[in-house]
Amino acid sequence: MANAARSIDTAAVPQAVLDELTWRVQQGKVELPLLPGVAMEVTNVAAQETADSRVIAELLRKDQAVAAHVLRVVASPVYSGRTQIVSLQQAVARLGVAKIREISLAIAFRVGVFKLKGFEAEITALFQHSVAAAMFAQEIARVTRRNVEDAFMCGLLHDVGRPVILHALVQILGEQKLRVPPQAVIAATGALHCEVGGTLAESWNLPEAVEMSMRHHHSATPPDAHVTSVRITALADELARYTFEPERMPEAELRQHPALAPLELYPEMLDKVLAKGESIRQAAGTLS
Amino acid sequence: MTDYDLVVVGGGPAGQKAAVQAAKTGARVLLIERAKSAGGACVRYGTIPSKTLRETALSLGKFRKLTAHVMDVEMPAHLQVSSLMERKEEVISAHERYMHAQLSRNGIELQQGVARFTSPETLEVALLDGGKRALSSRYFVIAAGSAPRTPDNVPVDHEHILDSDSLLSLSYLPESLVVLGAGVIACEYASIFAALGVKVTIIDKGERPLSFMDQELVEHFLKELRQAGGDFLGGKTLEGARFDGLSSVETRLAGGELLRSEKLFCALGRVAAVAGLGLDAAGVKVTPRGLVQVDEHLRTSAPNIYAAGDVIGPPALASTSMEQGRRAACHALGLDLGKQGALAPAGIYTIPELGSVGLTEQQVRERFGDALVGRAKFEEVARGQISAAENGLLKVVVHAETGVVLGAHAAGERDRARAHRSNGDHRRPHLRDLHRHRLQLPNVRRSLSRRRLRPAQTAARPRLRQARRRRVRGREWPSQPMIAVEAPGGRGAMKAHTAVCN
Repeated sequence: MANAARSIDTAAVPQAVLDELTWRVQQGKVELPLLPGVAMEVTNVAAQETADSRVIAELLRKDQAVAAHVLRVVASPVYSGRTQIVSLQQAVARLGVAKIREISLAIAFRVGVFKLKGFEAEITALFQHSVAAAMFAQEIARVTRRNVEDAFMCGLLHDVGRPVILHALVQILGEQKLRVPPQAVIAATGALHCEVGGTLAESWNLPEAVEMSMRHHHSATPPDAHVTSVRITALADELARYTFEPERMPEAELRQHPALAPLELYPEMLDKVLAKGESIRQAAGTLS
Repeated sequence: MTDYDLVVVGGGPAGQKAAVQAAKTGARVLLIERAKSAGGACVRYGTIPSKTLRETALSLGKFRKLTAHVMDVEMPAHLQVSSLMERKEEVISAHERYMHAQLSRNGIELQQGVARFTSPETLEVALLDGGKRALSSRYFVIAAGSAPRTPDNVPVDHEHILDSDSLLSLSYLPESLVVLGAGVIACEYASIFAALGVKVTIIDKGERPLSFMDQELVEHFLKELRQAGGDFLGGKTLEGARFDGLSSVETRLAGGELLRSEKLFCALGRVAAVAGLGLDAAGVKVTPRGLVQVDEHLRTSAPNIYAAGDVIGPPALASTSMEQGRRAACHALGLDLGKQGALAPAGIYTIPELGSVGLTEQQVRERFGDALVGRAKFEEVARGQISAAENGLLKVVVHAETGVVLGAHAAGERDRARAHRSNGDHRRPHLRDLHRHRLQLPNVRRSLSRRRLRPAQTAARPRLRQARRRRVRGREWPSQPMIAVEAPGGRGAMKAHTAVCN
């Protein structure tokens, strides 16, 4: 199976902990902190009125947590009016850089940063994977003439459930003074991230295509609603995995991906997407 | 023995009709299409989706106009394009189902894949799963269509800078849109987006858009575009365009002018989609402009290979492509379809819609020195005002001496403003024919009534008498096909029979 996490059960994590996690997700009592480096960058850049606006826009695009929070805030009636804002570019264009700077700064102060001792590498890898998936999704959309902005957002946010679960589980385990092997915690994030991600997307009022992609990117038979976005995200997810963990996703398996045929992505088109792999790996690898 | 009698490369309007026509003769036919179903760009990126969006724009605009005194109808500031094209997928699916049924009813085999000639009699199909299929055929029809042309200084990224294949993938309406180019596709989309409240600016090196259309119609189109908040900047030289990395696209013009817009639509023409077809291996020559070279029978430089549709260049309309496809298949299989009419009507789905057939007023004056012009504005007709379609114009251009109608042009809000050929009737239309109809009221068909065209008729009378005298003296009349012009309004639309001298 392409994603090993899917086949691992959550048995190593006590049921009481999982129940508490489910309750917190349902009650909206989970957080999505920022990477320490990103939080610092946001604080520095957003606090300077003279800072290049493009740097702020770029920050939004390369971090799933910042992007999710900004979308969540601008989706509120205060900012978006009667229609949902569906992309970061649209948010910047509609609200203006000054407003986005304000929102970003508020987010950086409010949500805090990840402080998960022992999981630093895992967290960084999750964020790198997401930004790589976003960039691959963008390339797939380009070659197949689908909406590039939607694809990017779906790719960037598809795994938001993972860091949220990880953060919440570590908190709960700490509160309950329980010790669980780190691999079991990571396995639990893998097993639960689609469901939790979908619930979060719904409660954060994220665009429907993003919600469906978060919920169904590992489904063998995704539902019809936003199925193209889901398929692009599913393929981008594996392309990102192939880029960072080729041992978990051999190229031969990638070329048999079930999304290729419905997306009408011919081998030479996939080659074009794969040719971007190195530049995507480098761009995503700068996150810390 | 070859695998097939006819293999068609491309399932757009030309390819589909070529395949059906050949299959009806009992030939073994294969249609190769890149997508999973036939239809081509027309169904996926062109005619069908754009007209669905257009229909919504029209309905919204008309509803607002008709209910202006009763209710305040406002469009949300940030409408999503997908919500405006809710029926798009439904319409496309229905169309695909119909085409699939037509292909299977006629026993046509459909192969999804990408074709490449390996010789004049053989080709290889690259399949989605990476596999290959080799096959042979007696005849081929290349109907691979066209792709948007993207100049080097306009980096189309399908995100901020879009072309006609990606424009309708937008998920939200931009606040502003710069349109590069002033041809049919550029003007159609520009007017649709303007009608939806987007601030549209068309930029072109020409002094006016749609240069092949009658000037008066173009002025009418521009007036409507400007009323909708759009603009046309003619005589401009494009230096380049780029996304500013933040939220807008910068379009640089010669002279230092800089325009900013949320999105840019590059509509600077289309190129034949022949890359990767292996035309060299097939012995098929292309023109310096990259179009497949064909003779009057649509046969390429390889005697058993034909081409039809956008790959052979203008007019590149779905209607003409279909006819070309049929003719190519017929000639290949030895069937005679007779001579193809030289007259091609043009229907442009701008808002307002423009229809034209025959010569423009400017062409008649250049060719014959003078012209009689009859004009009718729908604002003068009760039916036009009732249906909020008063912004229409119908124009008939008549030979000043003979009274023969040489061109007819219409602009109007609804799709019945198109000019088309009336097949089968080949008598010469005359100015007096226009006055013989008895028309119900109210009806915009009345725009061609006697009263409205009286100035043209009165002016024509003395010269018509002279012309009759000359005819008696044995002057030859050219044989001309008939055309009809339908004006916006009632279903039984007015038909102005006209002839075209070309």
